[in-house]
Amino acid sequence: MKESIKRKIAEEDSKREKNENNNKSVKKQKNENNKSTSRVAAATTPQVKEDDSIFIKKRVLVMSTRGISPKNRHLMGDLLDLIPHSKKESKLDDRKSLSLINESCEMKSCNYAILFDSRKHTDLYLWMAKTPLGPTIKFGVSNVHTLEELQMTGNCLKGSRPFLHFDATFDGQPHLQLAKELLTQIFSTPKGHVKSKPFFDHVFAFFYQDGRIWFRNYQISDHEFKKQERLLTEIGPRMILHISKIFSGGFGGQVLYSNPEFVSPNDNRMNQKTLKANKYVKKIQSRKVSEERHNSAFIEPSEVERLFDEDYHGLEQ
Amino acid sequence: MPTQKNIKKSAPIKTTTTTTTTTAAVVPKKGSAVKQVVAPAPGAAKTTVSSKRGRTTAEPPKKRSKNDEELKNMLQDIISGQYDPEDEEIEEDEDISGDDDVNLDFDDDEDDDDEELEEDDEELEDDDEELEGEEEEEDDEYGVDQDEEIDPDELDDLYQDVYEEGEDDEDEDEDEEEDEEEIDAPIAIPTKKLTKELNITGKSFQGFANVADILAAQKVAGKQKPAEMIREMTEVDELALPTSDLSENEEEESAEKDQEIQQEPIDYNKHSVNDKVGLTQKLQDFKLMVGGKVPWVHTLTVTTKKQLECPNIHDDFVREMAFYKQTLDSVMVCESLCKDFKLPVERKPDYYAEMVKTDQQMYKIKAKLDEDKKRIEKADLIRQKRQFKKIGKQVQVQKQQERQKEKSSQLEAVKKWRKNREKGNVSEDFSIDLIDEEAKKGNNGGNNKRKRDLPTKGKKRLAKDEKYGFGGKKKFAKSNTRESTDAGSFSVKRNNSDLNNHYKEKAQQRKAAGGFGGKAGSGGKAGFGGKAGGKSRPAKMFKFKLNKTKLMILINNVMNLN
Repeated sequence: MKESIKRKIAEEDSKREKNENNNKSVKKQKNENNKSTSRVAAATTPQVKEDDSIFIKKRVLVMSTRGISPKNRHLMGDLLDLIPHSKKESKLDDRKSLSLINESCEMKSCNYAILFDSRKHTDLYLWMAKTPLGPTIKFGVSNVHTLEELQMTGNCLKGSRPFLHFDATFDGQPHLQLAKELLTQIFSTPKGHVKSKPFFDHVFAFFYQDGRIWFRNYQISDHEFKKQERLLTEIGPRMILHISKIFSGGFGGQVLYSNPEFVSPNDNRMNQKTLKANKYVKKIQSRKVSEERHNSAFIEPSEVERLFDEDYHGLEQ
Repeated sequence: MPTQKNIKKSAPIKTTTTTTTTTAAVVPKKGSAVKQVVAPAPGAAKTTVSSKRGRTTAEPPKKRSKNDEELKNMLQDIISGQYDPEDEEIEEDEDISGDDDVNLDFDDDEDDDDEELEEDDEELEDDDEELEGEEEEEDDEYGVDQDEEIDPDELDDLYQDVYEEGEDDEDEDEDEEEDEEEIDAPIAIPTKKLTKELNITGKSFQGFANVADILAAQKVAGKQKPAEMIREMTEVDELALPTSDLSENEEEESAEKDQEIQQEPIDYNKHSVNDKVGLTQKLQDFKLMVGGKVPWVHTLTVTTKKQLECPNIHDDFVREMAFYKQTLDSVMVCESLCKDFKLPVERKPDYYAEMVKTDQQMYKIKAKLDEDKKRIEKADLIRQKRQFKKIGKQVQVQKQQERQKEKSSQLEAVKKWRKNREKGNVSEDFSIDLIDEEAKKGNNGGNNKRKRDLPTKGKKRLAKDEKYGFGGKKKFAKSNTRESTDAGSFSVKRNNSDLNNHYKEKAQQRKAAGGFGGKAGSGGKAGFGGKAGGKSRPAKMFKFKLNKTKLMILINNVMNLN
């Protein structure tokens, strides 16, 4: 596995070198110390044929760990349907060696990976990665609605290329920029893909609200219905992605970002349980206190009051 | 007695200070403090107060009584200033050397300080229960009022105090020992977290089910200022980590950047990492670009210029509307871009292909929509009915009133017509009136339609109505009233005259029956007495028609009885 990564790195390096060489030849700028400027220069030069392949040669490996819940499995199926340049891989047995996914990606000639990591049969983490060099983003997923549900009435062609819509917030912080870039790379269907269709009939919309990424998929309905206005109908699926961590490598490496606001579902549950438990304890305590108060407030009835009490008399006699 | 108190505290401790100062590294033990107090007393008996810590508690009280005087003397010395700390050490040692009963830590005869020190050091090493620090602390606290003079009267009290102090010391020792034991024992970590107090910050996301709770919690949290755990992303915070997968060039670059931005080392919080430089670096590394630009044709990505403003993210409708609007805008942008790049947006009508959702699924969706629609309609209908029931009575009353009005107006019309007829003009006025009214109503327009819908009466019907009357109350129509019969001719007396006559006749008949008529009555009574069983029915008796023959028979019977 490491060899493969090394090879890739070497390839990329060589590519970069080539580019730089080209730039030098074109721009005749041989200032080796100032490499950043040369890179900028490289970016400005048009190199159409080679670079197009970057966009076109994309494949996404979609897989899950064992113990995935049906709903999440459906979600995975939906994503597979909506991303025509995706491949499905069998379930992952060992969650500890996630970096093996890099290898399986190479086996399947994929350069992206989506992993549905389900914990305890209930919680879902979504890993999105560019393999093998990274980055990797680990999302916590909540509020999942799949295509199976009947409330979303839209429909679209299978494999048609989606428009991608991003909220302006994604351009702000670097981790969001990174997330945006990765999402675009994974979700945008390459132009001229075999399974793709030459029409546009749906939008993937990503919003950043409440510290989470909200995913929506809308159908762009035909002009025939309403000629003046465009109409969107939601197709689904829906989900909320909460960035938990960003790693520099593919399923590993340095932690570039870890979200302090992310509360793992385990902790969440624990908190709620403790809250409940506290409630019970408080209840019992308050009951005790009230009982004590009652006892202290009780005044022994005087003899006069007990005069007609039969028991009392009986005791006396 | 403030001075007393001070002294009482200072007395035993002062000695300890001396030990620490004179013997340098000699660490006084708890027990030794007491011992040293005892030692320098002039002509003192051997110290019996045990120097062993912890075990002193079990000492018999007789020893204490023995030492009372010694202690007193010593205290006096201390107070009067005779007590010399320099001598103490030696004397102590001498005492100790001669002392066999007591288990001492340093019990050798030698007075050499150095040796003693060494030994002490050894002892220290061996001793598990050294408490140097604490002793010294105590010294600091209490070693203040050492040289104050006190009346001898109070000495007893003082002694008592001192003694108690010693005891206290012992107790303390014990306590300390216990403490140590406690420390030695594995620390019991509370495993249950039941009593853990929770601060809900509302950050734990729980879906929409308990949004209200979260909001409430957030309200509370808004008042508190949360601790700054998250590092804000300021320029100062930028920090480059040695990223392993960077090539040399990039590392150099990052190094350059590092130099550019003077960074301060930051304590890494486990929960918040925000390696801004690393992130941007990574972004640059893996971003797909051609010529510095991202060709729109390949990505089809649109980013809005304005941030989404959603007043309440937890309100489903509001949120979805905001999402929808923003997406719609960007779709328009996308389509215009498509035109620019000459990409077809709409599919041709004859282009059929597999859809994401199958036809079955779509049928299901349609069926569900229909069902929803029906359900809504049904619910509406039921609601309408319910409302109608509520206002039904009012409507009924209203309708009745309307009818009444109509009727009265009609009656008026008829009256008018009648008056006209009485005056002379028979049918013309009536017809004219009607026409006028109709014309008026036609002008109004509203009620005209309604009137036209009513069936018009034929001639025959009209004639019959005229003859027999139409409308009005039909009940009791045939029964007599005062008006139907002549009111003056009828009198109750006359009406009942024949009955009165009848009564009169009866009365005459009774008179004709003679003087015994009354007796006969009583006789009749007697005759029926057996039969009636005690119950007399005088009314019926009257109603019997008393024939003469029957009467005669009755009378005969009575006579016979008599």
